[in-house]
Amino acid sequence: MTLAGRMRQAAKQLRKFTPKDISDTIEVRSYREREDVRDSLRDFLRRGEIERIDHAFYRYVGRKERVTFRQRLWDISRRMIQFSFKDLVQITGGNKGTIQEFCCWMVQQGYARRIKRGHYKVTGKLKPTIPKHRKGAADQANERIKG
Amino acid sequence: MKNIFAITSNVELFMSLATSLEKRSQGIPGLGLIFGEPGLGKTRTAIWYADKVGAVFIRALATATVRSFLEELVIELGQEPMYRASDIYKQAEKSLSENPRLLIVDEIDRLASRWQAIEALRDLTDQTGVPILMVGMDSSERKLARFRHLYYRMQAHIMRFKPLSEADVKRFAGQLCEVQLGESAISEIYRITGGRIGNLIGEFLKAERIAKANDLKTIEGSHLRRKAA
Repeated sequence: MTLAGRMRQAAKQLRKFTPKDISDTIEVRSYREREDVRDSLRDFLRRGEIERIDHAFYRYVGRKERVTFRQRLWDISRRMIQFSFKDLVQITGGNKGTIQEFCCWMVQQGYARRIKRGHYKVTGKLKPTIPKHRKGAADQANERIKG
Repeated sequence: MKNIFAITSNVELFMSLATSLEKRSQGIPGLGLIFGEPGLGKTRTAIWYADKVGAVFIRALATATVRSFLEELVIELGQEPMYRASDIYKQAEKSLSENPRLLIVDEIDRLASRWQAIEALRDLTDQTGVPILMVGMDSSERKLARFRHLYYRMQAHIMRFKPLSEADVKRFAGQLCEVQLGESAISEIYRITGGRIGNLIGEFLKAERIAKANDLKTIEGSHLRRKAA
């Protein structure tokens, strides 16, 4: 395992730590390696993986996963239960076309039903992770035409 | 009407409270409470903030038990819940320790009568260090005050959502309304709506309709009164 990997594991374990705590946990002995630990911690801090809570005292925050825009829309709609196209635009500030396409996809796949124009309600309990984009009948028909 | 999320004084306070919880120094308890009357935008702000910072958002159900609440939390954390409540708690604890995130619990007043669920939240923040922001109705502060040990711990992080002040209404209109509203119109709208967001939006739409129909650039209070008459 790389030094950064070992450090990450130690940081996860300790949660709150000083650079020395990390060095001791991963059993770093040489001065050169201690310097590497310090440099890597600086990288972690820059990446937002750890945060500084006091002088030379850090907290492990975790690696930020990249959240897709569709996942964000999915999360908002299942949290709101009843949502509108405008709500999604307001909260995410995203592209209207993409949001419109997402709303149509939700209805097409049966994850939501349309209450009135631009207003939807999710059907049942939705999982936190957005299911893989299954092509709807319209997409397939378009593909057939293109083909 | 512009389709954007308007930043009001309540939203600013929400953000500052959440930030102070996240950035609190060692030894300070990580529990916070936001409460207020319905229709002031608490849940909407919570959902917006959760989307912005990638927080975990769960809503307590009226029928929730400790187990069902923990189950919901674990599902939200992306795991398959185990059978026993103690195991589910361990799952939640492990997941939050590995990937600490702000936890927002909406409709907390529904959980206030289930002391075990509230104690589980306290344990979670103590053991994992994750900040927990509870959002609830007006009565939630009173209900949670019964848990004295818990209430004292979060006293520094309690905030009340208030109806918008007249100055806030002006700021809100500036962000959302596509027609300019004069001072008298702002006062009139404030008088009619009492600073409630849902009603404010209706009044802004009305002002925009009047401006469009009469080709006006600025709406004054008299225009709104005439329409109402």
